[in-house]
Amino acid sequence: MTTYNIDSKGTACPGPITDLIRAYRKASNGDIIILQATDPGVVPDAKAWCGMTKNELVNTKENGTEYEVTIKVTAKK
Amino acid sequence: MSDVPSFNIVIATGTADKLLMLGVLTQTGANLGMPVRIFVTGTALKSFKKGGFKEKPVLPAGFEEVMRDINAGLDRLKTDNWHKMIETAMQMGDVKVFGCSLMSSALGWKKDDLDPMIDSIVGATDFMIQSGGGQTIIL
Repeated sequence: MTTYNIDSKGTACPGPITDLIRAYRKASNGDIIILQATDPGVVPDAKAWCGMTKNELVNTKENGTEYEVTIKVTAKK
Repeated sequence: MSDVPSFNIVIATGTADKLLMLGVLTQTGANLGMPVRIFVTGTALKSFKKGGFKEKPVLPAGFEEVMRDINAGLDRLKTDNWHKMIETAMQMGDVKVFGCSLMSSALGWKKDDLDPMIDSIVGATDFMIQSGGGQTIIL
């Protein structure tokens, strides 16, 4: 299992999700992607993306203006 | 052909706000694995003339001040410009950009006059058939 730590802090929509997709393309089922961002849309966008793609949203955290989304890759074919 | 319905964008107005949204929506569609089909028509075609993206886009009338503030904020965030967003989307997914044959003819522009990202000059019929079944957004 690999953990991908993606730092998208300072980028704006759709930068964080673009970075997430780049990591996802390299990842395998069971891998974890931790996405850090400052864009306030990242949590709802990541939740919607997980819902659409059937990957698992493990956790979200918010610390002031910083957000962290943890995703378990479960839907790679 | 992909099973995912295409996401289609008709951009008819070439102001800075519309071009920015074109970039954002194109990149988002590619992120989501959707084929993205873009039809460039009207005043937007000017920004797709070869090298046209290097010129500052026209600010939307009545919103010049807020658009300047938005642009300053985007620069501060180091956000890619609309053209770079489309280039990135083309590298990541199935994105095609078409120029409108009516506007090209009216302006006397051939494919060679247009940005290399323009796949071809097509009529509305071709675009509508290529984008069949998918959601279409008009900017």
